[in-house]
Amino acid sequence: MNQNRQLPRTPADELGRVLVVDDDPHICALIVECLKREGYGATSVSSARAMDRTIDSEPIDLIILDIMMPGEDGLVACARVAEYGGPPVILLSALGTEDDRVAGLVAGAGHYLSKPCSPRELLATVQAALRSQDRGGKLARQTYAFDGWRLDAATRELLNPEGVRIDLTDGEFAVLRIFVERPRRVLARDSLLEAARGRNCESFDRAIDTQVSRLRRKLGATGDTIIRTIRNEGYFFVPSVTGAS
Amino acid sequence: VRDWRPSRWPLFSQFFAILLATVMAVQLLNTALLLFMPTPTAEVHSLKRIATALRNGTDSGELYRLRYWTRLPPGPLTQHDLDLANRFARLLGVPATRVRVRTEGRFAPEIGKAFERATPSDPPDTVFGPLILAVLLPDGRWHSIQPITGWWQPWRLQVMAWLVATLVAISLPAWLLTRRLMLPIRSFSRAADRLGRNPEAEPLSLTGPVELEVAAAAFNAMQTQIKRYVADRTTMIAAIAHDLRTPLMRMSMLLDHIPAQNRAALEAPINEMDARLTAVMSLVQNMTCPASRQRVDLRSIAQSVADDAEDTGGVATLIDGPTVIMKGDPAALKAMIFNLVENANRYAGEAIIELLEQEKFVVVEVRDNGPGLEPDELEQVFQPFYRGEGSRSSETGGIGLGLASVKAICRAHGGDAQLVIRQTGGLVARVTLARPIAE
Repeated sequence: MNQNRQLPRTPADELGRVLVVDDDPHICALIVECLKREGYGATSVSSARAMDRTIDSEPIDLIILDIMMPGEDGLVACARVAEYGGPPVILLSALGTEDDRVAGLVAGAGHYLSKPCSPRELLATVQAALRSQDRGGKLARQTYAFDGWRLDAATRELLNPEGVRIDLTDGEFAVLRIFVERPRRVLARDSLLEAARGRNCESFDRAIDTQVSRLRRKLGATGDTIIRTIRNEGYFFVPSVTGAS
Repeated sequence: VRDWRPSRWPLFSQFFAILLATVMAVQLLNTALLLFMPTPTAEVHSLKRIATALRNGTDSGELYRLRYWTRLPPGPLTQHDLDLANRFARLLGVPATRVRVRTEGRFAPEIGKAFERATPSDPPDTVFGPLILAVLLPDGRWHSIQPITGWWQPWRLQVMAWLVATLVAISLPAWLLTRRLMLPIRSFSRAADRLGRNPEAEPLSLTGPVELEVAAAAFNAMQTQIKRYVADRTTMIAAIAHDLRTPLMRMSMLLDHIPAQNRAALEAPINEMDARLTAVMSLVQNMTCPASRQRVDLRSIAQSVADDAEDTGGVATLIDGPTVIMKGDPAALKAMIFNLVENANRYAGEAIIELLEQEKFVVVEVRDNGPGLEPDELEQVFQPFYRGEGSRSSETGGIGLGLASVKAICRAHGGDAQLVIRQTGGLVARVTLARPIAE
């Protein structure tokens, strides 16, 4: 790991400084190398405790954190970093189930990657994580409420006014999230599409109109009154939204 | 320090005490019956009247029944009976050997004797107690006479009423006591039921009869064991995932170092292996881990699966209907419907999904018009790693865990899954999911 620490520190030339935390030295080396090739500053450590030391001594913009490590668990470490407002975290996990993903996002990770992932995916996620940080939007756990409905952005859980969970596809969730973030505003189709894509939502491949009509169906009979079509302009999310905790 | 309150006694002792108390109470009441009931009055018969009735063949007041016998049943002949026979024979003017008398009952003759002793010189015409009198006719038959006594005599009715009153008086306290005895058992079964539904629930802390405390302790031990078993499996899944996916991750990260023309050749097996690992892990997960419980709209899940299938080039139609609200694990239910829809698409190129609500079950049907299956395969396909003849190639994809997973998820939701051949050809996968009554 030492050779990684002896990097020339020229933050001005770097796109961002990334700390890789994984107990497997090969994976650390490969990720660091991949990131450096793309112009990021990168360094790696093999445990959560070493991660703490590095954060204290170096400016870190982003952490790529493995979940299953000897010593402190990646999830616990992630929750701790999120608690004190440390750098954004991408969790890297070998489990990759839905529950696992939700647990990661609840722990405060901005992004979640399951092993194995290609360098392409890794770089795209790093890029997205750094960009969301640039926007100043800390990806804290956020719950939105409208007309009795509740949407948990981290767990993607949508509850209807009776408290029954309504399942959403990735595309529907992406669209709904943009609506609740920008309610009572006319949103053009293009900007909706752009915003949804910016979320790094891979399966977002259907025309926006289809997603909106599906979303209305999921919202039930009141769907049309919640999302109004503005002819030739786009869509308008009618209810006022509160960001409940 | 031992707790001596009756509610903490062993069930055995409590039950025994109730039994003893009830029997004792009944005995006391019956003793009261013996002490306070008036003595039954004895029947009084007139010998003259009996003789007249026997001679005429009928009784004026129809108080006596007359019958003929070819043979008299043998009976005890007491001195009293013989005396009575003699007196009766004199009255009728026939030899005493042709008259038989049998008195019944125990105390009435005694009263009669006492009465007779009081007036020894002139034996009275009256005789006490039930009796049968018979005279041998010249043709060899016996002509008998006996009083017609109704069963419903006042003293009998009184005794019956008393017994019924005793039963009513005893049954209320007995009912209350037994109910009290059963209370801890009922709360035990409720607690056990709660624990069965949610293994993470607090362990049972029952105080009560010794037997129940022992049962609760055994139940808690079993609970701990199940939890440990689940935890072991979860650890195992995590270990497999970690140990196999770490090298895959390394290989995947090395893709960039490989000439572009070879990259796809390496990327495909990495993805394939990852997909198989996912399938095995989710099967183990579904088979061993209790499903989480959340109120979900199954229709929204089926709709998501159908839409996603359409978006990825499949054909899936969800038949319209109202929302279907049940308790279940949203991720597992979604994976289950996804597996069925994917299978139908893979083998038949289409899937029709229908949700049916029944009183205690929610039924999910996924139909297709494909080639179907041989009847003997309908069960086998649910076996893990089973693949139909000729489909053991990566062409059709999968490693034969989809339906095994479906079955495991159904079982975790208190239901079952089966495949049925449609009359029109093709298959219908029918899944039933238990629908617990709202708690």
